[in-house]
Amino acid sequence: MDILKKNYFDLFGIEVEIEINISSLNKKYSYLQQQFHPDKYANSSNHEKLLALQISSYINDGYKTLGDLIKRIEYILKINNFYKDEAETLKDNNFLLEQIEYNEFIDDLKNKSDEEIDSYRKNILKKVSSTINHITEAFDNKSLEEMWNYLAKLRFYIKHVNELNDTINKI
Amino acid sequence: MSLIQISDPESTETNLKKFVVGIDLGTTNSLIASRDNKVKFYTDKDSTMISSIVNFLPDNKVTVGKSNSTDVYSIASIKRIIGLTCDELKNTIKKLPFELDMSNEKLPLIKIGKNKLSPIEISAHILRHLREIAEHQENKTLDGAVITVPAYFNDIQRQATKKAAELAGIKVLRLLNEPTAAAIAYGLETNETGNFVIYDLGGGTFDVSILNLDKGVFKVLSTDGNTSLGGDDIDNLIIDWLTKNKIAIESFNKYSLKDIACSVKENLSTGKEASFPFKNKTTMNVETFNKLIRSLINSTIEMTKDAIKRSGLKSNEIKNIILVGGSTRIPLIKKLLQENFDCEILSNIDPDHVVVEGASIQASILSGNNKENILLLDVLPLSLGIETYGGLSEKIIPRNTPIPIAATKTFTTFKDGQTKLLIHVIQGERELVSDCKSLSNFTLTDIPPMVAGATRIKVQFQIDVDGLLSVLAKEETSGNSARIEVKPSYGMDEKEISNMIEDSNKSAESDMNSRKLNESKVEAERVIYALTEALKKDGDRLLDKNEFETIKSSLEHLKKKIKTNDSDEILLAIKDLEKNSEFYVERRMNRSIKSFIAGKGIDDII
Repeated sequence: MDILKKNYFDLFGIEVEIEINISSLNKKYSYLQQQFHPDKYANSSNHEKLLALQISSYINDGYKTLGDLIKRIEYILKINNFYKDEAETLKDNNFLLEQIEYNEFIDDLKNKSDEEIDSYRKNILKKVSSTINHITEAFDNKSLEEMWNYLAKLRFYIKHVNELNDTINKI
Repeated sequence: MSLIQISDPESTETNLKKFVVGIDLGTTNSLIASRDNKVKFYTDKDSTMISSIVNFLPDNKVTVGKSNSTDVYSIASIKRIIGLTCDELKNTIKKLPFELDMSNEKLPLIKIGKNKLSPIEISAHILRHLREIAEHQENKTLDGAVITVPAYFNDIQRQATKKAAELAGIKVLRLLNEPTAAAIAYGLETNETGNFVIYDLGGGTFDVSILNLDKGVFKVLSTDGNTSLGGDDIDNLIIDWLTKNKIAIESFNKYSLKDIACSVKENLSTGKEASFPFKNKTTMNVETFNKLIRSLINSTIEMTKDAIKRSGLKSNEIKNIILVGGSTRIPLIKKLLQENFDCEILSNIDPDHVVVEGASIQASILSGNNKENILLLDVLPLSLGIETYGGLSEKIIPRNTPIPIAATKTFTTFKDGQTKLLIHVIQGERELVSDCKSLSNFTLTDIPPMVAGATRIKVQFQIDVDGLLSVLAKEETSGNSARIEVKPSYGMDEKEISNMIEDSNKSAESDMNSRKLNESKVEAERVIYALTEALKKDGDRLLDKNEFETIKSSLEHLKKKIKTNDSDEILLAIKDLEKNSEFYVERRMNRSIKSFIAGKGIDDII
């Protein structure tokens, strides 16, 4: 099937970009599923049913991939044929120190005031958005290696914010 | 190009109107209904609620429903154990109202005299009874059904329910989550956006689900509940109260005392006082009743709070609470929910009917009887994973992913010359495989012998719209498809199932044949209709003359075969036609996606 060979951006008819319009993605997702969801083929031939199952699964996977920032960036690297061994980690000593420092903050969260936590969170969120800017820039300059490096940082920052929020909820 | 002859679409339309139903297969009661313009319930002994009790009579006859006879062996609450293994039943076995044979570890059997029956077969008896009363009242053969299951049901419980339906001669259009069905009954699928609590207190179980709705996309955010808490417990509280207060009870046996308690409970749901039919004129007022049941109801409120918390929402983010299950008629429930949650409570649909109503609506949409443009996008209720080194679970598809969905995983060998690979598929959220539900253990065989790690075996896990799993594997380096033996973990393989279906139909062979013929004719008409409609729309654009002729001639062939009244011949002709038109179907699909992408004005359409 031709449809199953299209990349997700083409499937949803949106430009390959780091930041996309999520509400437009949602609309297109609903529209695509209206066309291809197996329920719409409940009375069709078995072959059509099978195709609908495959296409609808593909749309769902595309929706999941494009709807998530990290997955979307990973996917952009993939369709640009950039592969790097998952085991390889970022060799950046400053970043390593930063990670240790951040994790210590969470370990010591009980002793922090609300103001401290608040400004700390703001700081991380700032890092998130500046990292996204770096990735966009790297993508515009077609330097995929650099994109990959920043992606590793972005993953950490986002995971870190989630951990911070989870820990606060627990306390 | 020659034109194809097409019969009057009006007449085809009426012929194609299908007899489809929704079925609420409950722990205590089951219901069956269809929906044309309005919902129509099929009744047994004048009641829409049919007891999910299967009675085995001494003369080998089987009946369904409450039986007053003393020489029957009755099995109730079979839903509690469907799809469970012996291991999972260990802790609950003492509470079960029947005796089990646990010699087959995967599939506990219920002892009935000298016979042993699986939970699937017992459930099939209930479903067959439901089918028969609907067919009898409609004087038509059933074309298909949407059957509801609890949102927390795993793959095996779903597979088992579907098998039970097949065994009962019912074509399953869809398995639908009970809370989702309730939401459909309230028409929430059309335009509503927001979070909803489905509070379901039935005869024997309590389920609470948090749903997120976004214009037709249903997501089950979390579920909680207690599988042994329901209206029966409230009846027992009333009986306990009688005993505690040493109220003289005339010689009622336990069964009818329970009936009395139940009717007192029902009267107290509408009135301020209810009396017992005893000589001493005992009465109970609402205050006493509420005091009696308060802690039970409070425990359901706590579970509702927990479910909301686990869904990541706050109480004020809930738009409505929907009441399901007969026990929710008790006014105290509504009052306590209102006190604890600041949102509107929906209860205008009969709480006993709401699930089956939703199922019947979905059935009429799927069958094409209802042309409303509604699409329900459900999610995977429990994460799907595989066992990795050290007995740990690696998630392949996380819970709450919209379905259908497929995921591919590449495996390799770890020994030189290895030709087999064992894959263990599990379902659940926990880290340890032993804490998850084992779905299937299957072996990839015929792997070409190579050095360790050289071979690449791609395994695709496909989840369909019912949330059911199927597995496909392919050896990449040689291009061979590796063979997979998927052993369904509910303890029976396909052959055993088909033997069971045959056995159950032996007694009514002629009935079986006419059913088979009818099914093949319905199927043939469906295929003819779908293809004719397609050809009318774009046949001349997408097909050249030869292609058109090929399809047309096998279409005509099928039409002729319908008249032979031979189901095998008809099925063969259907297969033939489907095979000959495969390429056309693919072209149509591709074209519709092309027009979607090429149409730069897509944003205008939607």
